[in-house]
Amino acid sequence: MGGNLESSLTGHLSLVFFLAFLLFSWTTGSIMSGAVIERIRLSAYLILTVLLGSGVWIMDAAWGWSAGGWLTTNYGFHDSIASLVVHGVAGAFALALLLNLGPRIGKYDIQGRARAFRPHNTHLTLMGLMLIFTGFYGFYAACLFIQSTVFPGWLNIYLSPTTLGTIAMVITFGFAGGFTGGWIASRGDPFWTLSGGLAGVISVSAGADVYHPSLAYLLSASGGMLAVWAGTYIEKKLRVDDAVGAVSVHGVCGFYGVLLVGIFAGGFPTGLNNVPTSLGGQLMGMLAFFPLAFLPGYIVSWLLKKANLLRVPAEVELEGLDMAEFQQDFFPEFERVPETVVLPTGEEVEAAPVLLDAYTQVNGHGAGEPAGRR
Amino acid sequence: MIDSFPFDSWEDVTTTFWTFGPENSTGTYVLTVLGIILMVLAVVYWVWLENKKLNAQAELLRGAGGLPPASPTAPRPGFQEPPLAGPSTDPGP
Repeated sequence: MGGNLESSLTGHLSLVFFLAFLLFSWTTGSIMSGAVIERIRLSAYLILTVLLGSGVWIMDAAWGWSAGGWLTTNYGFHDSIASLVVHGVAGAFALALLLNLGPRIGKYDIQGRARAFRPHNTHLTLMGLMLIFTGFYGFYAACLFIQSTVFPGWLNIYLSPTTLGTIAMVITFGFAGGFTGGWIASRGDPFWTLSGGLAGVISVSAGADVYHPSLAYLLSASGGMLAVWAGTYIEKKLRVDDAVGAVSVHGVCGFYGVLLVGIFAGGFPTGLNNVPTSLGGQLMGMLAFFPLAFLPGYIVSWLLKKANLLRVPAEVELEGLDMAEFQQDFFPEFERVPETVVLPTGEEVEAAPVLLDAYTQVNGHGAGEPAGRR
Repeated sequence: MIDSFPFDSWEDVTTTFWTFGPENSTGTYVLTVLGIILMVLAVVYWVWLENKKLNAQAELLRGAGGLPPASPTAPRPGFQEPPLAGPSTDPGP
């Protein structure tokens, strides 16, 4: 890498890139965190984060997010700003973990219908999403090389020319399109509208160095809609309790993003060998990365589950994890108001009786059945 | 302008001041190994301590009343199993 850049700054840029890769490894862990909240043990989450960020992510970046990776040099795999290698992989890993972790107590009623847990504070939820949007600009910029001596001055991760302006425009249009798609598909739900922005950007990240901004807007709108539909399907049909929709927003849209490159940017030369990007090459990357992420996540979380080190006790989950994990109330300044859940019928009711009933079912005493029968 | 900074000579000067010597020295390897050992021990301790805290809190909550005792064969969530409080696989009487 250094010899190709021919810059006295090569070594120092490598350090910057190391730190950027480190940030991305943390990002994979943070993507997973939202899916598993409110019932996973912190230690289990830490172990799985190390596996994902220090093992899976490093491996997939070496395969398909470098100019010399085998997917790049052999198949022209193109994932410029990490749709799949960061987001998709983290989503697949999180899905595997969720299958072993199980849903939160009370998430599904006895008939398997999903209840909705209201956010603790919708303002903070949406503000957090906006902070992610801001950080995305830095994330994108960190995916580029500076090549100040050769026009146009920037290189993507595959050492092909690009510009910072191109990337910035695609992000901005990606957010706009994602908001549009998320708003339409969710019929104005605030959480899914803003999550749609995230899904939109992830859907166009793989080709952010190639797409025209207008194309990015349309593609990201489709990604925003896809995230809502996939999230609903995962929650209500598959009955996988992904608390924030991370699997659909990051996982599904991450894979969708590289698929779009194969369709809309086919022929673009990628990597040291300038291999043309193709739909087949993109599919090859998808086929390689799904098991790379899913299998380690499933196996290690299964082992933790068997050792009873994956999930907190049901009583602690019902109380909330702060007291058990940290021995303190994190919101002492607020008057406690009864939490509510939304029943499958749409009716919003106080959460405590519903959760207590679900707890008795979990412990084998529910619905008149003897312990351990269910 | 940034290309004219004497990074290489600065680097040589600063590395000579590192407490246990420059990279690839014995001191650096010793520190690295010690750090890895500490990190692994911290993770193991974390798992043990958290397990202790969670079990203690669960006992406390059960002892306070209001919650029925946990069944020793309580179903756990997982693939191929019904979700927590989800649909029963038991057709009933």
